[in-house]
Amino acid sequence: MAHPFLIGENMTGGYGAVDILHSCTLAVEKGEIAVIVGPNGAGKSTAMKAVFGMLKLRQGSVRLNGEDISRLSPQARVRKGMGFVPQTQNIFTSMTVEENLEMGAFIREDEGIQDTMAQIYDLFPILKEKRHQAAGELSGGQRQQVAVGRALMTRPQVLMLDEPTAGVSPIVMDELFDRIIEIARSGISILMVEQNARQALEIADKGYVLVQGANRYSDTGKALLADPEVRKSFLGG
Amino acid sequence: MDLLNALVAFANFVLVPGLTYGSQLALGALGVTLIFAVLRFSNFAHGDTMAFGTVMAILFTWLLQSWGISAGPLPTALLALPLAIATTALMVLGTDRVVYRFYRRQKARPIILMIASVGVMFVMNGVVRMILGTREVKFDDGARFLLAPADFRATTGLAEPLAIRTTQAVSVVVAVLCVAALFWFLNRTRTGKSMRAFSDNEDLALLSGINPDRVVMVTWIIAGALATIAGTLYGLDKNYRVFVYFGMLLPIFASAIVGGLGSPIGAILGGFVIAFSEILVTNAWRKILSYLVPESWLGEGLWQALSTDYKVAVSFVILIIVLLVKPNGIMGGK
Repeated sequence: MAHPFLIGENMTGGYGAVDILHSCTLAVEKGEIAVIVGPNGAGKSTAMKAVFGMLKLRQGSVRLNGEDISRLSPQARVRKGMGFVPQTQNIFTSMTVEENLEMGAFIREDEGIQDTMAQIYDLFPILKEKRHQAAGELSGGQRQQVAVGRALMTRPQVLMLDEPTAGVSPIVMDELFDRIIEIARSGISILMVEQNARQALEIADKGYVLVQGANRYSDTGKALLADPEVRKSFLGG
Repeated sequence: MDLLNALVAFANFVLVPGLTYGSQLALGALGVTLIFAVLRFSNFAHGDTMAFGTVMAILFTWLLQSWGISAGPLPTALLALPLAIATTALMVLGTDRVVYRFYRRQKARPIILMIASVGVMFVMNGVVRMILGTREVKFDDGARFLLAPADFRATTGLAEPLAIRTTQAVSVVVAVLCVAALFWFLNRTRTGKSMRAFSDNEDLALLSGINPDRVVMVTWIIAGALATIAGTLYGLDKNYRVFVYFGMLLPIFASAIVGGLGSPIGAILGGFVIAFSEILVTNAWRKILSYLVPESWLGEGLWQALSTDYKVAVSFVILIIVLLVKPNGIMGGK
């Protein structure tokens, strides 16, 4: 694995004068799921935002498919094939589900937008049913589906999810994770931050445990779940 | 027959003027609400943008008239509108380039943009006065009445006349067409949807690749067009005077706020709420009442709650009540 598909390597930086990330490295292979876990305030979301270019790096680089994209704006990274689902305010609440998906495809000039939309409706059948309803009227789990669907409309190669299961019930969480596995199987790399560490690591090909903006443990999801140290400190025994 | 006469008098003095004035206010409030939704500040220069647009419409009307062009029974100003809209759009885009863009780049707070718009208001007011002065300009031509009072009386045999002036009918019809076109644009076109997306969630819109400069430009053009149309319709109906347009700012803002700032449907509803409130409160009800109750019950008074000189107070009171009771307005704006 000399060249992971997407890698943020030795990232150091923060929003202001104080660094939040300290030589943090995150990588994901094609079609795999990488999960970032860790205690509150560990810089999980910040690390992912750094990969997406929403944060200025003082050191380190981000490479997508071998190309250095460290200097690109988030918008430019979307055009390069990265999709990002923010944790909050990730849908257009006053617009219908279908309009949300259309806006997701705003940068696309080709004719295949309707096909992509049909694929997303296959993935999330409930969205097809509610496609003419305002997205803000949907339940929490359905809103997350809209948010993920919107990001998928650009047909990204990498999908980055910031706590996609925050505030949804356990049943809805399992359902969302199943869909995320399905997305990964279609060849899209997934990089996500999760509060529900145990469940997330179960579906992860690769897991990163961050503490205070630095890598503490990096291994396969299974190995992290089996590691007694990780279990004791981060998974509640 | 007395009830019929009362209804006709009501239509003549309340319903027709209310629909006309409401249409004009609705168009004005739509411009304010669009600017608020997309650029996120209250544009105090909107009244004077209306004045500027109207002045342009007047100048182009005179030009067309000097060439001997007219619209038959309709006001020539309708033909001048496209030219006036184009000029006003250029003017507001220029203002944005010179004033607002600077503050947008600084990510200035809405209150700063609002204060800047007060400055723009004074400048534009001065510019408009340099062009046509402060005098009253009457520029409606064509047929005076769609429904002349004498004709109505002759046909129905009622004592009470009903008049519908051409400018009143034009106001309502043009407003309906504009609103239909605007909603079609916002709900059916890609650019319109991107405007709504930008207004709904700016960060996500940027993430989706929506170009903010383009959204801002389109918004200014539409707001300029709406201001020109609203101002011209009002001027055709009640003549043009620059200070009257300056004073329109209050009822227009009241309309937009009553309906819910940022909500286009709210702006239209608010326009009619304000227009009818003003007219209901300042109308002299004696004539209508005289058909319903014996003359002797009415005494000497006009049965007018407030003199028309104080009609602005109505907007003001409604504005205060709405801000106290339901600050987000009817449609729950921002």
